[in-house]
Amino acid sequence: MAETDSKWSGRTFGSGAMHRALIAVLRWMPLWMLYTFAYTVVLPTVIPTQWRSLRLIYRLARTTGRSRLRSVFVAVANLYCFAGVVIDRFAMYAGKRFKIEVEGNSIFEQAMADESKGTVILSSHMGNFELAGYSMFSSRKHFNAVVFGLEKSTIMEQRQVMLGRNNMELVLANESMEHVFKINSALENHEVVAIPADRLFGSPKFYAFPFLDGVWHFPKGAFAVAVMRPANILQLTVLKKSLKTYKVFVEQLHADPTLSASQRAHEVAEQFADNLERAVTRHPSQWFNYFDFSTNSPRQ
Amino acid sequence: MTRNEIEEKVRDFLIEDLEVEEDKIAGGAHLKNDIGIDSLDFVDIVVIVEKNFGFKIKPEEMAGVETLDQFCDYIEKKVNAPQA
Repeated sequence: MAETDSKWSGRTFGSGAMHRALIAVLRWMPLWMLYTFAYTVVLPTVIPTQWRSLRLIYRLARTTGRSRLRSVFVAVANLYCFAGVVIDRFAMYAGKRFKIEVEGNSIFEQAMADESKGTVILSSHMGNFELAGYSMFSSRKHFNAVVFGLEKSTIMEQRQVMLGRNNMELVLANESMEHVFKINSALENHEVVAIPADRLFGSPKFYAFPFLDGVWHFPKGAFAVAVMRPANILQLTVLKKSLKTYKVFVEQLHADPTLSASQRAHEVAEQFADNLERAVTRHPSQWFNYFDFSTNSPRQ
Repeated sequence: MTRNEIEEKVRDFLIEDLEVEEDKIAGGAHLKNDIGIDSLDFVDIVVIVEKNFGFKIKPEEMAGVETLDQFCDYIEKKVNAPQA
């Protein structure tokens, strides 16, 4: 399930057969039934093996001022919540729908109504971006979701099926430069491009910012893409509220057009890190980036 | 645009925009292995080339481009190609 490491391989946990079986089951099984099974049978068995993830979330919770006991609770709740969002993601692939509430809807509406430029959505492994982010935007503009090319083919196939239905397409980021051209052309055509901005993949270059208890590394690539063309830059955080409800937080990020591209990218990355730190501080149980990119050096 | 002008412009953006160290810039230098250009830098290169040389890089045309000389050859060919 969860795994901590300093470099993400670009792969999602689980075999293709496992993913296909889960999607097939979710086509007929009510969501609550799978939740009950996961919470009472699977998680109690799996949690004791997830020491590294538990320790990481416990550490983050302690950093945000929670007591030891509360932090243990947050760490365990995090794994339960993670299981929930994974089930929801596959439920979405199986055709199930969720209720979406949006905070910052005017920012979203403004970006969608702007015919003069495209929109870059920076997402994170906080909550469940894929569940709401994709459908919100694709109903209005052509949507390009940048995903990492080594992810399991089942996930790719299901995403593609879902995306095909919804005016969206996947842009595979891999060793070739093709994705750079696709992103460039999408932004030129004033489309929407979504890219995860909290995991290093491909280029080893990063920005180091104070983040919670240390200095964390954010991938330069995502922010370079965000400023490569004039675009609305939005940060989306999608948090699970209840069994079938998600809340989307939309925040606008600003890049001073008088600065150079690298300065603008740095400026956007800094705002992204600040917003993300606030979100993780408030909701550590929904932080699912178990890949520890921090240098673990003490915050100055 | 002359070959020298192209090389100068390329050299300028490598140093100023991509922060490449000056002593790494040599004609035969490998873009990836010697100069350290990666996919991230390519994001900038696509935009910079369009802004400075007025054409769009096509992925298929970049397939055989590995060294700085080859990159300048490619730009020279594109900017000096007769307009259709």
